Amino acid sequence: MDENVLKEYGRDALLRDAPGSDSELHVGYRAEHAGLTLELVKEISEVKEEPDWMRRHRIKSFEIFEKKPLPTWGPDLSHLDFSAIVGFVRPKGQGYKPNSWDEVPAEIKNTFEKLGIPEAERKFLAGVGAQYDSEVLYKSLRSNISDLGVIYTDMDSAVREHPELVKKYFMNRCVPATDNKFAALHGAFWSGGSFLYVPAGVKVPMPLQIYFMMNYPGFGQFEHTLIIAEEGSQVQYIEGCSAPHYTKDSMHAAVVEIFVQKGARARYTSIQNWSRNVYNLNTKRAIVQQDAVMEWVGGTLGSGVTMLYPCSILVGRGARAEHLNIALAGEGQVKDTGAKVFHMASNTSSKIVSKSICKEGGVVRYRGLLSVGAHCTGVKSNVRCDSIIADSKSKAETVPVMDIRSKDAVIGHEASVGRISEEQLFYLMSRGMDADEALSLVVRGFIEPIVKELPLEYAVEMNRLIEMEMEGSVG
Amino acid sequence: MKPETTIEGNARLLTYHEALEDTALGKILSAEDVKNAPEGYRSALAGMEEGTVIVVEPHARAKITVERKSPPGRAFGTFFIFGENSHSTVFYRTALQESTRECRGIFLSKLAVAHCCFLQADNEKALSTVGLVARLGECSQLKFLNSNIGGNEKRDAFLFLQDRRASRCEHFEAGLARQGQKFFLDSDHLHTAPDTYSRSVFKYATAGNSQVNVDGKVTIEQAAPGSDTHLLAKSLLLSENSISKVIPMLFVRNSDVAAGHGSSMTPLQDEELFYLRSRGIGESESKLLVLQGFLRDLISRSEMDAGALGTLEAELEKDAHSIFPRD
Repeated sequence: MDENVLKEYGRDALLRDAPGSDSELHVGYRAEHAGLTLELVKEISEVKEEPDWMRRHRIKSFEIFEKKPLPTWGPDLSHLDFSAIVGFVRPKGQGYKPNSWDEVPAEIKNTFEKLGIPEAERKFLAGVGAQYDSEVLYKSLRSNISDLGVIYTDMDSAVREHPELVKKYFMNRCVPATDNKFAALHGAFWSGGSFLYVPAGVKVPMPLQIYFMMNYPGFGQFEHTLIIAEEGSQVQYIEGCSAPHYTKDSMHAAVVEIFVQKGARARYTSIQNWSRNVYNLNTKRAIVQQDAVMEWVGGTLGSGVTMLYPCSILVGRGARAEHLNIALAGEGQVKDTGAKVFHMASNTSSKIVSKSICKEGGVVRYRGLLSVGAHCTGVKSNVRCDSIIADSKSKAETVPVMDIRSKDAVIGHEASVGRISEEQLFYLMSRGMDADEALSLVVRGFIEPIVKELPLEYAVEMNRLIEMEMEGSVG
Repeated sequence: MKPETTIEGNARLLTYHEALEDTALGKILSAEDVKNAPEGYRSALAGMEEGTVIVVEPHARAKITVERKSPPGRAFGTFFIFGENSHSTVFYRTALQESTRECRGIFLSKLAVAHCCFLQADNEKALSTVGLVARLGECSQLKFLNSNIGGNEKRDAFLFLQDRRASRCEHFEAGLARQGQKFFLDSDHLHTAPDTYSRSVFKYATAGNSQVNVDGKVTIEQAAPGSDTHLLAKSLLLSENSISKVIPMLFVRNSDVAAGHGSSMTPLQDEELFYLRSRGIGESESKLLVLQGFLRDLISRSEMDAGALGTLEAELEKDAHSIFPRD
């Protein structure tokens, strides 16, 4: 790919570990002790000057977190030490909201400039945000978009400025704190994240984007994303994540709640490239109403252990969901990813495509759930999960569950696991390509159904990153 | 009570204890596999009141028919040992009135070929649990057809061990679940030797308020390069109230493999019914034909003995009629 294109978009660094830096240099305020405790829950609420209902919500969530056990299935989480996690770090510069990029503190600005935020904003985004450790430092929205009534702000501001909307949707019907241990943990310690509200009938022409950086060693990032696409609206939202590598394990337990109302269309894209000592344990879910469409596009590249199963609950007649995901696992990485779709109304449809690559002892596991409720007629669903296993140290597993309780459902599922076809490599090499070029082309073809859904600059970078990771994997 | 057993060819019938006294047979039966065996197998073996062992001699050909109308106790066992380079067909049928637990063992020696057809047509109140261990020797071939049409609740847990090189295993399941019936199948294929091959095809039709749960697991270990596996699970949904739950699982730890699975769940297709109706066939008869076609396809692929297949098809047809009576 043309290096100038990459340079122009300045996205080179996003999909790799972010540049390391003196972590204390950026800290404005942080919790005095490591450990996720009730005192810290109260401290966060106090520092943020939150209303009483949110404080109570946090405390209740913490109680649930303490009672719930760790999942007994999936990757090994026994090394996850909650007492060593720093639960709240407020970046320097927080407390006043910069109105322009120039007002962001220089040392933080440098990090984000390497990720290309200002260029991205100018060139192709309707709005952009940047979260550094616990809080969102910068958020902007083009004036022509805000004039349409679109609200795009950080969650902390939303709690203060739009309490009625937040109270109505926040962790009550989509992802309640009782859902799982990490959702409860999130409910207690959440900080930062995005609040996006798109009024009825508004079609946001360009994607909105946020970057998450975890910079503090041993840090736990718990950002909350709440997206409400009102009736007939359309919106695309993109997340990018990165972190420098420290010796202490970090943790990321985000919650994403998306409400796609009647006839609306929402696309959520997430490219995750946390460093390899990050536990990435997220809960992402959408409630999709009549004739609405929810699309999930994900690239899970970084982190040590990932448990991520975006979920669509199709509650309205004619609702549709698409889940597209790429997972790449190298040495020491476990990618336990998948998708869940609940068909709870008639004429709903879904499509799940998952592509995984594992190498050098990495583990990729597709874990999915497809459920069709009784009396839901005309349901259609197709699930496709393919894995490439590059060497015999690695593991590829698929565990798709299909629970069908309706007579009138057409469900299809296909999965394959294997190495890169020697015939394909031979064909390409016999036409003059060297082994790496041939491999690169085959891998690109493998992930193409998902990459083609990414915005151009992400697609370019994703291809490049996977090529880099796969170098020398032939044979 | 011993099963009614007819043997054609060079094979012999022993009790489990007699077989254990034979050093060679005892070694096969008390194999270390028991610790990996499904819970249903282990518990039936532990409480076994009577065990029957059928041994096919090396280099022999045999045709074996086993019929159980009444069990020797609440827990019993049936074991087949196929000698080296033998070629056998087995038709095993149960028509039990009581609730039972059974352990079944199928042990193939090197180069043995066995086609085994199991038909469970028990009383509709019977609850049965079957635990099976099949161990395939080097270059051996097993075709295994299991058919569930009777009983009230049936829990099958099968383990297919392919720990010798170049063994081939084909596992077919055909079932018709009617009002009130519950079938639970837990199938596990374990490839731990190079160049092993397995195919699993499960077909279930669900009617009334029946429930079918299928867990199909295939594991290819690092020590099994060149292995080839595919699992296919198909459900035909005949009723609003039935539950069909399918979990096809693949666990692969070697890059030099071909592994895949597929599943589908569909109702009776309007196009197929329309085609038949347009040729003057009544609605119920058309549905019956589609249902029979769905299951018969699998049965014919299993390449079992003609007599066994005839009996199986007749039983399935009888059951299908109870769902779609002739117009």
